[in-house]
Amino acid sequence: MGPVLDVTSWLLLTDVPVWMSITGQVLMVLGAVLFAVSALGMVRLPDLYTKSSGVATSSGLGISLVITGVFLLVPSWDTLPKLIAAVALQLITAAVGEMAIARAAYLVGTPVYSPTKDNALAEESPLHPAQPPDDPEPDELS
Amino acid sequence: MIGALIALLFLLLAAAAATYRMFRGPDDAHRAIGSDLMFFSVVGLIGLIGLFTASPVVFDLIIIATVVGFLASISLARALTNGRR
Repeated sequence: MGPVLDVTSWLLLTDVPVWMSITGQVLMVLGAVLFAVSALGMVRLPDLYTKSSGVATSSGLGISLVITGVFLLVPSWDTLPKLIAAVALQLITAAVGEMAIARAAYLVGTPVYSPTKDNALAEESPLHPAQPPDDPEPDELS
Repeated sequence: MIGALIALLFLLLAAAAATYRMFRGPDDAHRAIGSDLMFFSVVGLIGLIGLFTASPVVFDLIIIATVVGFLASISLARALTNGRR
């Protein structure tokens, strides 16, 4: 009939069994909510390291949930190994990439939020420019 | 499909926050983090596009994007320190 009916039937589109459709959409919304939390953290969190943690969560778990949901809405045996490979790769690499960026940021002297305790990287890179060196170099011109 | 639309909205929100951080970020490290979040939200959007167009190619795209995104993170980290490890 009218276009309204078309939109409604598109919104309730179920080429798959109902439990698959509902589970897939719930998984997609959960992953996207992780992304929204990460976006909130991107704006509000105090320093780079906490932001990096938030992005690692959304990129690992959020992407995995979203693409699992997409798979449940368009299932096929051909894409199942691709889905498994994508989720495994995402879970393995996402946190590593974020930690690499955070460590590099520490090495170039990005300031650390002051209530942070247990700074293990401080022993590894004693020349963190945010901290005053113990033995400052003498000024050559004076 | 309603869930897909909600997911689309949230992914666009994450992309907007990443763009804000890339413009506003006080230093290069914040821009690197913002570009990472932008990349992952674009990967999620690719998945949703594959759902809307019902094309089976997107899982290949997502695998490739995962590997390339990991390489991008590592090279951004290396570029931040000018090659120092």
